[in-house]
Amino acid sequence: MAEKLAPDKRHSFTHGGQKVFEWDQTLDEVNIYVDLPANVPKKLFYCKIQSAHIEVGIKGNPPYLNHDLACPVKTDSSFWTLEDEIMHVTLQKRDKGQTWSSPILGQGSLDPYSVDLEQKRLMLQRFQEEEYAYASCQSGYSPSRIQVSTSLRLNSLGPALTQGPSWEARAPIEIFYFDLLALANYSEYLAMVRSFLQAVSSEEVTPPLRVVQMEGLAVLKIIKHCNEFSPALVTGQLLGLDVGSVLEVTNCFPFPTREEDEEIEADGANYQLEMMRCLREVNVDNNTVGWYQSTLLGSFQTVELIETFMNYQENIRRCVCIIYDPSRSSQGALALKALKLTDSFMDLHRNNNFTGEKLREKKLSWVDIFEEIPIKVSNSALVSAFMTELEPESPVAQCDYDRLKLSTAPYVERNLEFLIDCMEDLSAEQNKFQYYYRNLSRQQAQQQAWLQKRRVENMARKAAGEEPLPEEDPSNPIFKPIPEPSRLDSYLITNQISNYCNQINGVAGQNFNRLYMMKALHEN
Amino acid sequence: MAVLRIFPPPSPVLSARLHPVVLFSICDFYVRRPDQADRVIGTLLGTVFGGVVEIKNSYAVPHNESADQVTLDVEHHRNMYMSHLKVNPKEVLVGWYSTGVGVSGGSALIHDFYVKELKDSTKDIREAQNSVPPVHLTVDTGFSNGEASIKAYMSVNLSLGDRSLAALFQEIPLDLRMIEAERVGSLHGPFTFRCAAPRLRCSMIYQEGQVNPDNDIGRFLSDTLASVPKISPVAFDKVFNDRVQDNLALVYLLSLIRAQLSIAEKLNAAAQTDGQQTTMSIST
Repeated sequence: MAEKLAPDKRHSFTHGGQKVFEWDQTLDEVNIYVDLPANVPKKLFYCKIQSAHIEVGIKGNPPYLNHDLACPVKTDSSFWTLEDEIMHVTLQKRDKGQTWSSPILGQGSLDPYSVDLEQKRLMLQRFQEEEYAYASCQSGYSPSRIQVSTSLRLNSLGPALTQGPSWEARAPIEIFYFDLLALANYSEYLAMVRSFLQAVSSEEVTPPLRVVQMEGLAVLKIIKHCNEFSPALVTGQLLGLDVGSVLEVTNCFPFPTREEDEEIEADGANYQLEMMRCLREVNVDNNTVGWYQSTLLGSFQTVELIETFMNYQENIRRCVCIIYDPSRSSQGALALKALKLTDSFMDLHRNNNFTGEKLREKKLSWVDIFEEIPIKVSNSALVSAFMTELEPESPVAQCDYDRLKLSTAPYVERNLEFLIDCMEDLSAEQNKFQYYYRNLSRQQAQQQAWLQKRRVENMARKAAGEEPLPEEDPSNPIFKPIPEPSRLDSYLITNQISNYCNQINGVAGQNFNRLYMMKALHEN
Repeated sequence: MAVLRIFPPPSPVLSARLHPVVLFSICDFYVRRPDQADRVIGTLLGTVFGGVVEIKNSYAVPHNESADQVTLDVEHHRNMYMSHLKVNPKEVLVGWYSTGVGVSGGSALIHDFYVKELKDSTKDIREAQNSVPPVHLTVDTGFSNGEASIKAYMSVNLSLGDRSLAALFQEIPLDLRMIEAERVGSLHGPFTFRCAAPRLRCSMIYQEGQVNPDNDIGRFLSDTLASVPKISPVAFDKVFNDRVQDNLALVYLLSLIRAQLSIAEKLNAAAQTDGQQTTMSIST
């Protein structure tokens, strides 16, 4: 922490080509470093610090420095020391937080750009200090959490900065205003803080996310919400903590189903605000770590999902999407999945470039878009105690009959229907690519023909002694480059198809089990 | 002569049903409570149908308790209620919960508050007539009797003449209800899936005498096995073979599709590397 507060480098004040002293400043003090001549005994150096004046010199000689200070200082907490060959004068600023452009009045001032930089650096320090002060009075905060909540505060300061398409995707807004807001250069401060945060976050080595740890409460809430509204699709927000390589999800709340109405947008944001505020009052973790959504038979790989991910990723360093499939859970398995976009895909999406070239460069194929993270369910000790108490006594009578269901036909049928639809979409995409390539080659042929003609013409003109015409003609429509269709859609469809395949495969495998078991029972 | 009269509740509430989400939520809030509070108080949401109160959801409300006074954050309660109603308008206020054992004096005050809230929140008269007085749930998180005790109470007014003396909290039967998916979700730690196959295996173990046979389980197993419908072997074989063939066809189809996907991808990539010179026809 101290390293962050220390200034980066000292400013040098030269006069007449000679370095008079070096100086720097922190939030509450200014340090002046004076090089001392080597052949003078230490006892002869003196430094007189007054509230608005400083005097440095050797006893018995005219003073080396005898100037007014740029701003007042606290004399009782200012001091000077001799360190090696340097006199280090520490001046305690009376007005903490004020940026000094120079220690000495009227001389050695920094250029306006450096003054600006200094000011920003000090503001950042102050911001950081207040952050830590806030964090230290709340129990159980980890450093990564502070980072998350800082970026959340960023959103509260500038709603115009986050242009989320859907309010579900916007990160929740915290109502926490510092007096820093009273600063004049508002937007500049924001930009500076954002760049600072980005710099800091890229400096830290973020361990890769290995597991998502969910509390039983969050799992049950998600299941309840999705089941209640099935077959309609619903979404909700996940709250929790980001700890190293584990993302903990401790609580969640559902979003109300949104109708296609513009006024509901503001309502939705209000709802989020309310929920976050109320949950904070009862000590629930107030950090968004992602969102959850229900899906129908696994058809969730859409462009909207990616858009939502990108929106979240801008604001939160690590976020995850939990997908729950109520129809599969009725088959007896808990269909809960945690998804994340792979980093390489995110970079590509940021540049919005999905041409084949780029993809081959990065060796990205359709499996690399989403990354599935294993989920671990954990419970607090109290809840485990309750569960062991309340668990029904005879496990035999309470078995999951659903798993023994032999009639899985409807489920498989629906899966197959979706699969067929997806195949049709895929073939449509393939046709698009075919069309594009055909056009491209046709254009090439046309270009060649035109070029030939031009060359012949030029020969003729040369023979006649005229200027040759240029060999390129950008205004000619046959030279217009044809845009390559984006491959993103076909990748997503391929993902869907593979998902359906896996699901049906699973069910088919189970079917085999059941059939053979029936056969065995029958023979008995 | 003044007679002690007990007024029965307006509509008979026979029992209450609790969803495990509520229990988890209460425990979670109890673990997170501020240090100076002994217990956690919150609102219960759910539905009432046919004399059974089904408690489906809950949220905690911050409160302060001292020797003679209880204060509740009404604003918070109302805000959360509105927010929850936005998500699910059918889940209405049905009562309140507190952790700890038994019903204390402070609880009676809080109960009165909730009675008033319930009256305020029911909008039309018809609803008010059908409304049921709020249920009070206590969850013993301290395990004071060495066991988990979750009890639900209905309040009954004791009055002497015109003055109401006290409120008697009568316990009503409570049962923990879990739907299939919730049951799967509530198994903590590694999911202990109970499948029929292990049970058959364990029945074989019983027969071999390795495990002390439990009569109940043995009888249950034999009943189950006996209840398998008897079909003639020919018919069964036909059905069986048909199903197996269908499944095999499915599996074959799926692997075909997967091969198709990877080939399509490779062809696309190849078409690009060959570039604009050759036209490759990509057949699907």
